[in-house]
Amino acid sequence: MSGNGVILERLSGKKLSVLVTILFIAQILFFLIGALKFPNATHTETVEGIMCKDRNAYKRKGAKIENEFFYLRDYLGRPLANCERIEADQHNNIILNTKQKEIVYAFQIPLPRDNKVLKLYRWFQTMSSILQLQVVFPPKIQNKLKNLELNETGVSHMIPLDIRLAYHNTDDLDDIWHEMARGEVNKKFTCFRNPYSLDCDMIELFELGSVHHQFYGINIRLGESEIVNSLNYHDESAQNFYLTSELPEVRLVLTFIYQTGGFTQMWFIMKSCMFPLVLFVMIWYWNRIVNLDRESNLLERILFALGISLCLLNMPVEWLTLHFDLKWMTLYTDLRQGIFYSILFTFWIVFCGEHFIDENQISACPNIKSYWRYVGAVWLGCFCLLVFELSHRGMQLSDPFYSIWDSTSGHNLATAMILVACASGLFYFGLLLYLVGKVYLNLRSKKSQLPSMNRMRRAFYEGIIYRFQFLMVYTIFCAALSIAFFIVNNINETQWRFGDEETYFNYSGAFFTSVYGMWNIYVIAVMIFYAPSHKNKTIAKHYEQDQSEEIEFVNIETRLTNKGTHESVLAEFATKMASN
Amino acid sequence: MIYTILSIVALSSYVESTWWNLGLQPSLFSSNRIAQEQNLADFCSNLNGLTPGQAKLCELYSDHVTAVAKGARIGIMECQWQFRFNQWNCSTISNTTVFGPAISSVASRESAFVHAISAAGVLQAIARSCRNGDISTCGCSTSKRPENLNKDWVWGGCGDNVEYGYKFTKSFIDMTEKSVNDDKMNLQANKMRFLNRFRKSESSDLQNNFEARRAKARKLMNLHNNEAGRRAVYRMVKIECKCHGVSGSCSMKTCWLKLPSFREVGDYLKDKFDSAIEVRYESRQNQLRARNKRFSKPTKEDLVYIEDSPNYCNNNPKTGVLGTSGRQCNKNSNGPDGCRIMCCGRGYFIQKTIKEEKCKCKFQWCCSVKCETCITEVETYICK
Repeated sequence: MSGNGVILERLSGKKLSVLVTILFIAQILFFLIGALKFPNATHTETVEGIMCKDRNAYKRKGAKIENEFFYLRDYLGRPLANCERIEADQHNNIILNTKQKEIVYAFQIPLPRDNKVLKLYRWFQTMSSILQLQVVFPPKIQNKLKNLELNETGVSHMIPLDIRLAYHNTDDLDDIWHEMARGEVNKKFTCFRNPYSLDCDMIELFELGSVHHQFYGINIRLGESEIVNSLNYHDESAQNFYLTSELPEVRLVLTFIYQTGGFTQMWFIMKSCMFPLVLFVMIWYWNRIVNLDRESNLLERILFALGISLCLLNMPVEWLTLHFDLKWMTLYTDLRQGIFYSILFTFWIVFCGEHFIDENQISACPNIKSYWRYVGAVWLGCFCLLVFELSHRGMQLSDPFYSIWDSTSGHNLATAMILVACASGLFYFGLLLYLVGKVYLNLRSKKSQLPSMNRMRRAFYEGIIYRFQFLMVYTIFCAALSIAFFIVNNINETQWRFGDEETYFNYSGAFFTSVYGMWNIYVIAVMIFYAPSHKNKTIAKHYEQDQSEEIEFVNIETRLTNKGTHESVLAEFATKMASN
Repeated sequence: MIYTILSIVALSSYVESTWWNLGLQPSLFSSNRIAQEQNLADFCSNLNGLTPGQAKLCELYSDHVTAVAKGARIGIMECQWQFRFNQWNCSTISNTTVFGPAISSVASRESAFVHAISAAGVLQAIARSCRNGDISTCGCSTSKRPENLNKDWVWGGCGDNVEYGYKFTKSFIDMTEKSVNDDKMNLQANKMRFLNRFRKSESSDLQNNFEARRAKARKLMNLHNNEAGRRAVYRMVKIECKCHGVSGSCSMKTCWLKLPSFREVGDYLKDKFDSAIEVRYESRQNQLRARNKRFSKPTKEDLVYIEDSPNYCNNNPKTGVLGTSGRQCNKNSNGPDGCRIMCCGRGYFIQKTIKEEKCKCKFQWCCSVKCETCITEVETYICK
């Protein structure tokens, strides 16, 4: 630790309270901006698949006729489509005179609203889709199923899906749809049987990292697979339900989740404002360290790295997505968040270690290597998440329908990676708690010795204790608030009231910006407060009368700036202290 | 005096036809059918069962007609399913009153159920059509001015379809009550005033006053039950959520509404039917109050009725009751489907038939069925 002390120690109570008030006001500002100016972060659109008849389904055998892509409306919203609709019998929940192979479920987004054709915009940034599958039982068999106990445990079925994703823009010809991706995937559905239908849990179909086009269309063909067991009713005769020309009605419903354009705009603006600010503070901070007449120490370097990672997080490269089709944006967003968190966690460990005043190995060597045991856990966890991220999101760049959870080996790898990441995360927090406790006890024992020390040494120790306690309280405050917001947000969003009135106060937006603002303010504050102070010379003058103590002070300084090389000084100091 | 004759006119016109009739016209179920229609005004006014106000709505929102017809249809189907074991089995008569005068002119429990289930059916059908993209006017944002639509869509996305279904259903179905008792009354009020200037009769005055109260009470009851039906859909709607934060963590969560299966709505409303509240009309406050003072005021979710149900046992062409003669009953049941109750003590026939049917069907995912042919002897019990 720098013997010069940091700005925090040298600030007068008045100045400190002014600074803290400013930061607090900034925090409230973040909250208010989120509450009043941000719309909901995401919006959903639920679309039910329209069944189209694929007349060529059987002709295609052998001959390589390209599958038709079915779309539903032209760019003016008129139902000009190549889709010959199959209508389910409203009465019996069956489809007549159609073979399963001929049915293609067509989806087209966005849906027309208020008599206007809507388009998707690049502001929407991301789009993910969730598929729900339901088999509606015809009344013929419902009667018999009425008295059956409900099947509480779900049965899983692998169902092959042939999915095609295509896009269309206003300047394209009506019938031209550009294929983006095509996949034949086996999806695992967990289905529950109730008296009226077989309801399957939602599954994630695909996720796009950019919404670059105006209209998207999806075609899904269901493949064949056995589901007999799920319909294995106790009553044998209950199976007499379908005639060969009838099909049970299978409904596919897709829910699309987009980021709202308003959220994207506000978010871009917020980041664009924060980026130069953090950059400025970071440059100022590093400038101060460079101007010191000594080498920078580990804690200062880590703090600088934290500043860089925050700058990376804030750097508004997202503006580019409005022009270019950057599919890797989600991956990039996840990566830089990962970098920020790993450096933040490393910073906490190093900060604790550097405030441990004792003659053990931690403070002996001011090198990141001495923290390998602690930092290793963080980096192992991050590495695991990186592997998971790359093999999931990375693969999705080439195949949007890919999910690491679909294949057995992928499932195992993902589970293993997440488990290791969780374990190392837990290990890390355990270690951090242990270290904080140890440092806290250490400092408390030093505190009890304070009255017996001379003023010089007392000021030095008081400084360390103050710095440590300040950051600890601040960090705990931020972490607790983040967790509280996270919990409240999760509870808050599940509520849905009847006839929901428009509210002008958006809690989820407020929590989001608050957490974002809080960690920005945290890093800025830590960089300001823990930047080396230039005031030390004037303070040292106060103690000039006591020459011997001044020498001792210098000794402490040199010891702490060049730790490890002056082991003997440390021992000397310890014995002196004991004699005092 | 003036009101009185009016209300009789109103009542009789009410009995004539209802929009439920749309549910009996399979030609309306295909959306192409209406899209190809050239003259919408004629088409809508020729649809049996619509009031003039509804015909106007049909003209303005022609793409909704399919959904309304489908909604009426699933309402009727669900009603017949729920009452398949009861003396009254929600049977439809092939004229425009749909369920016959027993439902239209008697303010019974059954009538309450029919109103609720059909309102729920339309809400459900409209919301589903929105999701199919069959209706292009589904509401989007909260803004009132459509010119802001695009901006609002980019900014915050669109609202939910259930809400739009609720709003449309409310204006479409509740219009029946409005036009019967307000519009027509006002239209003919002056005429009547003129005609009745010189006639005064105390007894007919009293009689007519009673009829007016009755009509008002019926109007309130129908509005209440329509609302209860719409709320039943809202009540059964499920909320689904999905986490999609960094690396799939739950730092971001999105929720949306999932429409219930209509059978669930039907089951819920059947429960409400069983616990329906008998009410009477308080003319001073112009509202319905529970007849039994010990009960609290009916909530908006409750079904309410005013009159006792008619006897559904015997065929009565006047009231439109078909009777239970010829209905199948269950010999071993003590419930309403048991032969004792179902046949109203008239006894039953036993019928033995040999049936050749598809059986041992194997359901294959997805979705074909392979069956064998079985021959079975079936014993059925039919009311005399």
